[in-house]
Amino acid sequence: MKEIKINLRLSVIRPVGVEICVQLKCFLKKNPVDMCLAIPGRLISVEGEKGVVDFRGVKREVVLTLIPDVKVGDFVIVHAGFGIQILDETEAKETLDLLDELVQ
Amino acid sequence: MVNLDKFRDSKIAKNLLKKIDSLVTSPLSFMEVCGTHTVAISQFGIRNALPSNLKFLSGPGCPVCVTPISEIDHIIELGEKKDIVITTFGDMMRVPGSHSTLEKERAKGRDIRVVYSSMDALNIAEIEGDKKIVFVGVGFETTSPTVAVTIRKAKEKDVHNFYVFSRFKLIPPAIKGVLEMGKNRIDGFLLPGHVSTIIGSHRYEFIPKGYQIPCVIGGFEPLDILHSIVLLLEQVKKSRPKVDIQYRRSVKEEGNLEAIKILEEVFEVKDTDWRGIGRIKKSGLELKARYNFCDVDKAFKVKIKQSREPKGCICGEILMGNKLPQDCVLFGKKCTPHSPVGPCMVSSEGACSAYYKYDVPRTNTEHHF
Repeated sequence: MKEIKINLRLSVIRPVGVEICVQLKCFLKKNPVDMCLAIPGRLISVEGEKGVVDFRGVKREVVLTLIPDVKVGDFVIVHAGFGIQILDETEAKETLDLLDELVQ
Repeated sequence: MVNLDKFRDSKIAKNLLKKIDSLVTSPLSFMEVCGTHTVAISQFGIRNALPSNLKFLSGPGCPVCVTPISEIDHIIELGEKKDIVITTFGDMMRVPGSHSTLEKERAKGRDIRVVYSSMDALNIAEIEGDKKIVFVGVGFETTSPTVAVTIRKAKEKDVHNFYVFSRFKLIPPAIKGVLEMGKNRIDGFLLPGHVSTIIGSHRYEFIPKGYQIPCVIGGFEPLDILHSIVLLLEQVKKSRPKVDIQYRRSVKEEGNLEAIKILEEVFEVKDTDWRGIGRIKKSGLELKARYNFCDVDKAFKVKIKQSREPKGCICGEILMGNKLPQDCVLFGKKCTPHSPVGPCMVSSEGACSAYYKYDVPRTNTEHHF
């Protein structure tokens, strides 16, 4: 797990006992937050209304009723054992491109 | 194939923070509605990386936190009935009711089981035909359609020992409640990405139109949140409030139409109570009459003793954005994740839990966590 520390000006303005090292922790290893956070995984097989989704090596059975147009190979957003949306990879790429442009 | 890890790119994050710095020219308060956003903002260190003029208030989007204490008592009473198995998402286990918690009741021998999915609860009902399986239905629009699918499956399979305690709530009416009853000025809303994945963006239009407040529907990765803040600040700068979708890879304007269709087939809207807020009109869901066979409220009569809120707990004020966790006299002292007093400290989506775990308070007083 790689931790990237960024010391921002806040740590100079507010030394509170211990140094506030204002870190933007970018975990490269996925760190699922909690049970309500829906997370994306790749759909690797379908059987009827269910399928198996691969979350970076962890596989789980997922109900696909809410995303009837899903195909094997799609990234799906999964919440409480159900796919709730097909992740739009084109939109994902466009958002990332936009972020690159935004900070030029 | 797109690399989703890039949504955690620290170089872009640093640059977005610089952009945010340049856009914040006067004191502003944004509200993150969703508990998962509260946690993400804390966990990724964003809260303390923002300029001091930009504050984030937590909103009512933590389903466990807004469940009235009388409903916790209700579930506990149900669990005492013969042959009833309580199945629930894990977050509910440690929420204090007036006298006990589901975790303590389980320790006493009550059959209370944590499930990841409502479908797991239905499977238990099919396997254990001699028991009555009650599923605790707490959540917002991300969760209620999944339970609607399970309820329809129960009907299709003719399963008659599966019941749902429907206390699902709706986000847009809650935001309206905050706008009408909250005490703090809110300059922008960071709207929940996964609720909006289901309901789309149109149901929030009343916020910019009726209250002239900017809205952005944001994702949950660090760059999603920072990007959403930039978009909110740009709306503030241009004085042109609207509902903008940042989380476009998941949220469509129309939402998930199949999920909405199934939700409306199984549930209808009713007035409901929110902990710390009170009754909000048309903000909850109950099962439609054709699904009475699995409605806990129709099947079981429960007498609840007088419910009482824990003394000193200000979760209600925090959920409305009126106060922050560190304003509570119990925070970090009598109320900790190890021994929580109120739901905001218990729930993994609760503001108090997030602040306790990840945030250093922005005061000159030394705190030890």
